[in-house]
Amino acid sequence: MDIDLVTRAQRGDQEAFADLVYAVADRFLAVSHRILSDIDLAEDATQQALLSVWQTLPQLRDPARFEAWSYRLLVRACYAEGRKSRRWAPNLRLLSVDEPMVVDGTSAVVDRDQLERAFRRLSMNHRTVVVLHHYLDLPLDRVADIVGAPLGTVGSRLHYATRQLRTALIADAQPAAREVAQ
Amino acid sequence: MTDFNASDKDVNRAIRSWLREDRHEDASRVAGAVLDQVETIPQRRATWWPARRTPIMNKIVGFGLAAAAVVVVLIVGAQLFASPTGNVGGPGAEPTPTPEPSVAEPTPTPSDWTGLPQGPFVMTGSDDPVQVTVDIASSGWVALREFDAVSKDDDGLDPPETVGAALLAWAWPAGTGFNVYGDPCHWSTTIPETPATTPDEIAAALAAQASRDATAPVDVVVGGYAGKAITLHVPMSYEVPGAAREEEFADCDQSIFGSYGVEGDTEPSRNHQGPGQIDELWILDVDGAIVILDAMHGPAVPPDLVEEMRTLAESATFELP
Repeated sequence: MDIDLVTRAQRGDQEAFADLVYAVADRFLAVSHRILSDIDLAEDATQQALLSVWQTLPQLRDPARFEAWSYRLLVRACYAEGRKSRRWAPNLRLLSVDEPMVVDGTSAVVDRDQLERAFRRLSMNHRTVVVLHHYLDLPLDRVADIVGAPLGTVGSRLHYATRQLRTALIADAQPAAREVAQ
Repeated sequence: MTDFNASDKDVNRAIRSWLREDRHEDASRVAGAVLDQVETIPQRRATWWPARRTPIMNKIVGFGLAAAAVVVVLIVGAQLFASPTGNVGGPGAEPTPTPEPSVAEPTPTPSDWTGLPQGPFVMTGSDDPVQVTVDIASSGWVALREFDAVSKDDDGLDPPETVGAALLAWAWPAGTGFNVYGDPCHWSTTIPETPATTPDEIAAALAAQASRDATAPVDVVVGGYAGKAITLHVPMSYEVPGAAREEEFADCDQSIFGSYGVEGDTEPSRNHQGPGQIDELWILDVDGAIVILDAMHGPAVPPDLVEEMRTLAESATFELP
């Protein structure tokens, strides 16, 4: 991020802030869409986060930390939107992760649908870590900085989320496999 | 075919591939909506200064401030319109005449912002129950009348980073009850049943607060008036590098770390600005009125400036109307 742009926006330069908005808005929306799995909620979260950026930008002490700081605001906005919506009731069917399962005859489309369903069953904490790490390619220490949790906690969340996804994928795939077996 | 039994690496690969599919998001509408609102939403300035509630402000003072605000708007507007770059009528337009303000100069005066002259300076407002005067002994101090404060080297940062320092001089009428919270972080649920009314009671309650440490109160005399001195700290454990104040105190009630409020108010009168903040308080009984001199600084403030601020506080003299 252009530090000069951030510094100017911190001083109330609306043109600089507009440039900042156009530089980050698409990415913000993409991240919030993946965390919330709902484009309307994601747009609301993105808008709220960008307004928070404007309002609190003067309080950012180090403009070089804009990216992590702004993502933190975005994650908070996502949490707020997620709380408004009650679509996230956990509905995980747990199976033993050691249970072998080969998804037979699956296509990319099937994988995508399975992932979509499995991802929706994750908690907001877990989805956030997965998106920041796997979508934004952020290392775990930066994810920890953004979500405000210790590094070990973030590592645990990612590990647990991966296990849950894997387990849920297996559970989703089982009926199809049984059908194939019959 | 996908074998999810193979390894987490396969799951990760599937997740990454799925997350990175194009979902046709277009944020231009959101960006437009945000930029439409920016003009009407003020930024929260980075500042040390707490929003102090002024329970003694009366309607006349309120109107006076409103009039002063109008004058400020007039003058700022006049400067904008008189500016060569403020010509909104296009190249051929005639310059707009500069309106002449017809009422008194607003405060603060420009000299307040370029530095106070050395010598006596009245920190409090005309509506305060006690007039507090300090002796400005060096250059660089500026007045912030809105907060009955003077500051030096204010860099707009909060503790622990700031290298600036400030002295507040706040006065309350006799009989004011102070709600010294049991816990500054959880102030809304730790309001004492019986408010403190004397320097001894206020200092003792501050010394006993949870979530922070404080020195033991000691007797002091400033300007001929007795009271208690105590030093308060905001723990560094609240530090979140790069975060805004509200984020650092996010676990506290309303994201505020507040030391005390005044009976009847619903928010703290004195809240703090960042981890590592140090507040050296002189709590004085001035013929029944309570005056609190609050020398605020942080760990990055040079010792010379801290010492200068102490000298400034101890130079205070008091006058009742």
